[in-house]
Amino acid sequence: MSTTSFDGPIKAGDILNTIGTTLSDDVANVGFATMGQVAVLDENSDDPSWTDIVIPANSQITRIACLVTAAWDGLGQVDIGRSDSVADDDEYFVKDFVLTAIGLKEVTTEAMNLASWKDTGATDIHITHTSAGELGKGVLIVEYIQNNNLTVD
Amino acid sequence: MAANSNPHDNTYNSTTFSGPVKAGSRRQPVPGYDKVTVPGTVAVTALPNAGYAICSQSAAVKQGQATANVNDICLPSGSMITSITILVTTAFNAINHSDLWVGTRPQAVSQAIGNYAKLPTVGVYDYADNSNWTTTSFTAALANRWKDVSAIPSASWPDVGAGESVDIWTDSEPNTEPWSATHAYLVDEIVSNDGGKYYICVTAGTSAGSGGPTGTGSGISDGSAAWDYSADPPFDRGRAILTINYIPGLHLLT
Repeated sequence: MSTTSFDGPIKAGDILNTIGTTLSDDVANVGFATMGQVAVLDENSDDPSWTDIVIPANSQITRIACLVTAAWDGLGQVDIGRSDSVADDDEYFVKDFVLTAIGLKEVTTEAMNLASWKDTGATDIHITHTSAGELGKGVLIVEYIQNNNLTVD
Repeated sequence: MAANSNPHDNTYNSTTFSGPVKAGSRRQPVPGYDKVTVPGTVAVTALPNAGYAICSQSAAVKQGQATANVNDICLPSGSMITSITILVTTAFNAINHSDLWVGTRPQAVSQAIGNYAKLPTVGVYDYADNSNWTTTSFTAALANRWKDVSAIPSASWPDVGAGESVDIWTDSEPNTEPWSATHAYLVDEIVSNDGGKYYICVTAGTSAGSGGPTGTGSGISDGSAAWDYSADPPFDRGRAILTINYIPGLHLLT
């Protein structure tokens, strides 16, 4: 099973540009392939901790979830953050993400930095995690559209 | 042109790859650098940033009397399931069973990857926050199966070694259990009684201490419940599209 890699976003559709108003004829229908990166999370009180995930610049985050294999202790929750440099992690995608039960946990109504979800910014970002216990284990899932470069209102 | 032909038939050309598809401007790891445990010595802009294209496979699922059905979904070795979605187009009615079980290989020796307790209305169901799980729940072993669907214990699956492709099977049994005495029944529940005849509950209630519905009538009293005889009970009412989203070839457990 060999891996095929591309530099930029992967798109598909047979009408690349809109030059009229007739669907299936001259209205663009190209979409992005959703990309995903995953990283094993070990709850660690020596936070912030760093994941194996680096998101390309100007991406749109479409989903953050965690497949919990061992429940989080401590406060039972994690903050998923970002770093644009080598050290800081002062911005968060989601805060107080509760991971106290084994299973698939989706980010839904937690406190989020929505602007970062819409557009991760002009530089690549390194995903971090912050929690207070020692026992939790899981797989962080981050799905995104690479370089969608949405305008943030 | 046929009524349902696709206007893009002449220009849609599939591109198929044998393995995972990745995208990112930097794909090679920095030699000797562990970005998880020793952060901060290499700039983020120098680290690999390639992600995987999320793949999906879908299959039509039909509620039926067969105990397990293979479908069109087969996941490559080492795949990690990232989400499962079920689009219910006709409600299921397996009151005495889970409406839909999803697993690998035939159920007798298989490993569950999902078990939807109830799919009672049309709409989209997913596994967010375990909202549709039965009491068997989302165990650590099951979560590890999502991490790598091919990491199956070989002792219970001797014909398929770890690391091979995985068939996805579904089981969606209708209500065909024999009638039970002093049992709480719900409307639309189906039982067999009186020499293999089928009856549909039309009035919810608790069945009598013995006997059960007989004959071929309607409104048959049974304790506080009532039944209609059915020559053609709706065993196969439920219809859905099962979609499994995954990243192939991760082998997270190895």
